Amino acid sequence: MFKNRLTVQIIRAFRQNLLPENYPDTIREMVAVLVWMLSTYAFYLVLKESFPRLTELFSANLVVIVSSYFIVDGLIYSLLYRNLHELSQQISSAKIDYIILLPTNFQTYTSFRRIQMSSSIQLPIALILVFFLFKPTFFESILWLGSLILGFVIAYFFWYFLSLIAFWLKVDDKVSIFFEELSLVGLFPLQPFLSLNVIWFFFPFLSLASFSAYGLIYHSLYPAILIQLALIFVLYFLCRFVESSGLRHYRS
Amino acid sequence: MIFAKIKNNLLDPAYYFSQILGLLSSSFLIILWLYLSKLKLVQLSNIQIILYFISIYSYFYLFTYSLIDRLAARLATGSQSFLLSPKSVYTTLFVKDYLPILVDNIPLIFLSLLLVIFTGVLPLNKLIYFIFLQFTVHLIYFFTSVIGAIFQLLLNWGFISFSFRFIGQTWNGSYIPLIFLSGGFLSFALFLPIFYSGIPFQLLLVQDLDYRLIINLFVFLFISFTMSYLLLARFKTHVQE
Repeated sequence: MFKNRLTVQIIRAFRQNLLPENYPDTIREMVAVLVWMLSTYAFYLVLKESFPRLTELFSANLVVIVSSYFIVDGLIYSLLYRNLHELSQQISSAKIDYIILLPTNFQTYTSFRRIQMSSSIQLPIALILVFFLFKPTFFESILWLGSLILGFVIAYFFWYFLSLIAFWLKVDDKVSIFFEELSLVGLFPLQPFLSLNVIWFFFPFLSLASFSAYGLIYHSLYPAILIQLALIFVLYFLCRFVESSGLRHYRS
Repeated sequence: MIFAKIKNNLLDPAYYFSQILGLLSSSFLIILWLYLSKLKLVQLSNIQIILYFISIYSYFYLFTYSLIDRLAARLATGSQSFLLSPKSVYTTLFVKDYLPILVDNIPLIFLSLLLVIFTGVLPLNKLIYFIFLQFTVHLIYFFTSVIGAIFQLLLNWGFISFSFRFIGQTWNGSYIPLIFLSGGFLSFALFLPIFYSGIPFQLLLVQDLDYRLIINLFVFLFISFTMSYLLLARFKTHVQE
């Protein structure tokens, strides 16, 4: 039922974005996203020119790293951004009374109400780049895409969990900005984090896209998927616990 | 008022929490550059790398994000009476919108400045030069945000602040210090309206700045002031029509 509702919402959002009155805005937003993608690829070209010895970052590997990030980021911004970006601020400023009174689940209502489609332009471009430049096998492609979807699920639970901190601390929108900033970790290869033994510190953020990219490049996607599933399991129960405690705290 | 706000901030635990979150946002870039240093690909000390990224990030991550939207909201909601008031629009925008953001960031800016001085990353004889460049950068930032806010309103384009934030962070030195840009990339970056903001921080990495960067800074100051002035006049006419 929930899946059907989400599909209807996505189709409706697509239609709304393509209405004559919204069409120019949609195009402008897509152009902004494309410019950002180009800017990011250009950043890697600068790194390549400045540090030619960093071979593992470049050529097809670069395409996999950046594209993996853009796919997860495209999903995050299309499906989550308009909902979760303001959640912590709404909680901090005590503006969720009407949501609590609604006969619907708090988590579902606050997480999947609004959708924006402009960032979804990242998905086809990133997919085309990987399929044409890295040329993964069919089976690897399926595993890689599955791993990226798991990465998106982790992003959702983790962002939701961070937003719920606002029940106890007045953090306004800072947690959302923090999440958005640190999710940029996915733009970088895994090697620096492995080499400096700091992988645990960045663990949730690296599991959004970096593990999937690393798994595809080094043909080891199974461990990446297992790690992601374990993390989803932990985050799911953590969110349930924090949400119920937070709502209790809010009501009192 | 400013001191009262600083005092309130310092007494609020949530303020420290948000500042720490802000600082943590630069951590993955520190990791990347420490890795490059470990591979001996850059001739920078670890302390230089850490303080450079903490300083540049703490200065701009909050600023870049919020000011354009804030100014756009001010210009949109209070447009008629606000623009017709005899008091300069610049003064109002500066006092009501820019100053509160600056005050929120003062403790972190002050702390990062103290750290770079005490660790010797910024030589004392460069301190005045550094502060002067920072002052210029903040002025440009204010004028550029006014331009961005007016464009956002006139073109109905909410993605202006998005572009400033993400593309800006990539090219203002937050990801890659500007001293590593060369050739076509430097020529390209010199034209970007956000590039200027990382220029003073290059003093934490090199003793002397490329003269082209300094010239660029003042060209940006001139362009941003003139353009914001003309656009504000145009915006006033637009609102009155």
